[in-house]
Amino acid sequence: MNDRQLVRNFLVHRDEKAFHLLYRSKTPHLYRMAYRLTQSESLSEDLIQEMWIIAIRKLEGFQWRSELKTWLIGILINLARANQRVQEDFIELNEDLNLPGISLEPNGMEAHDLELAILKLPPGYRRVLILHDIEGFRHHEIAEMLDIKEGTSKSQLFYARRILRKNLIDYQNKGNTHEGR
Amino acid sequence: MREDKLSDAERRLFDSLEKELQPPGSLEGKIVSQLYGEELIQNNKLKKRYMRTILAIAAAVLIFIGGIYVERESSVSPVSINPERGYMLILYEDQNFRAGDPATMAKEYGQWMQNTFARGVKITGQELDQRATVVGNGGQVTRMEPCNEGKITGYFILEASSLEDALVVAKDNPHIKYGGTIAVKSFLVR
Repeated sequence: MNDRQLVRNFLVHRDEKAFHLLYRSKTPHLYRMAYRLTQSESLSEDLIQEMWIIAIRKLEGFQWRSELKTWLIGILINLARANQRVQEDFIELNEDLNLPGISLEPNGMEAHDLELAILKLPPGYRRVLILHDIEGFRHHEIAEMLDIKEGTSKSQLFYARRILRKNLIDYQNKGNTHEGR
Repeated sequence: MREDKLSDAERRLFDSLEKELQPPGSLEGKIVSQLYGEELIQNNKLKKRYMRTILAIAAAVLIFIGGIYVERESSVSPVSINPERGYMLILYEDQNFRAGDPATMAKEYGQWMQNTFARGVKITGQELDQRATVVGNGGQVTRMEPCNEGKITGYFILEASSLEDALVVAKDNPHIKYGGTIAVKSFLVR
């Protein structure tokens, strides 16, 4: 079944079986994203649970102005943001932002290295980077999703990539140092 | 490489990231429990049992009021219908149908049966299995599984003095209120 059929099926039956179909078609992707945002199994589970409850409450009014996945990601990312807002207040970003341009050729790096580097990003930057560079959303979509200006999304991505590259290079250098010992 | 763009190598690295992660199996159960708790989903198996009860109640009301004797254990009562005044109400459900609270529905169907008899209209009916066994024009027998598009879920046969009377009965049927549709067909006597 495609997304529209899954939603129609749920709205007609509103039973456990119809929810299972909907849940199982979307949750693995959303859970991966939640875990990338939080790096915590329990927080990811809480976010996914809350996201589905909100989504089911609002599903009847969903107008299909976006894909179902986009709509669910919008709910998820805002729940994550509300959860991380307190943490963001304590993060200082000044040193990385003044760095000159860095070129990165990630030869020999693996997905795991990138995951670790993403994890080190401040939550706000991490969110925009995940939405843009991993999920493939455009800045105007991210701006709408997060209720921020498009320019803010662009600048956050710019700095996110800059910090990410620095983190990756640091990580690479540390690896080389270890190998030399 | 411009710093605000990803290089091809960086793009490939991003593309290599895992796209999905299976959540713990217990998570789905937790969410389902909460959905039940907030009445955002319902137990349709239970509802189907209630629907059978509703039909049984409706039949019982019919029998009680009409004083009709039923030989078998079925909600189809052998009401004698004069074909000249016979009508069939065919009950359809599609995606717009929303069953309501079973107890309320039982009460409403019971009331509807009483009102129908009070109008002097003889009536009988039956809920239908949503599956069907179909005999094709080549004699082949196939199974038709339930679908959500315009399925027939029940029927009533009634004896009324006119189509208008039959329509009054159909319009009052709770099935309409819950988003179903009813086709009214008169018996064709040649």
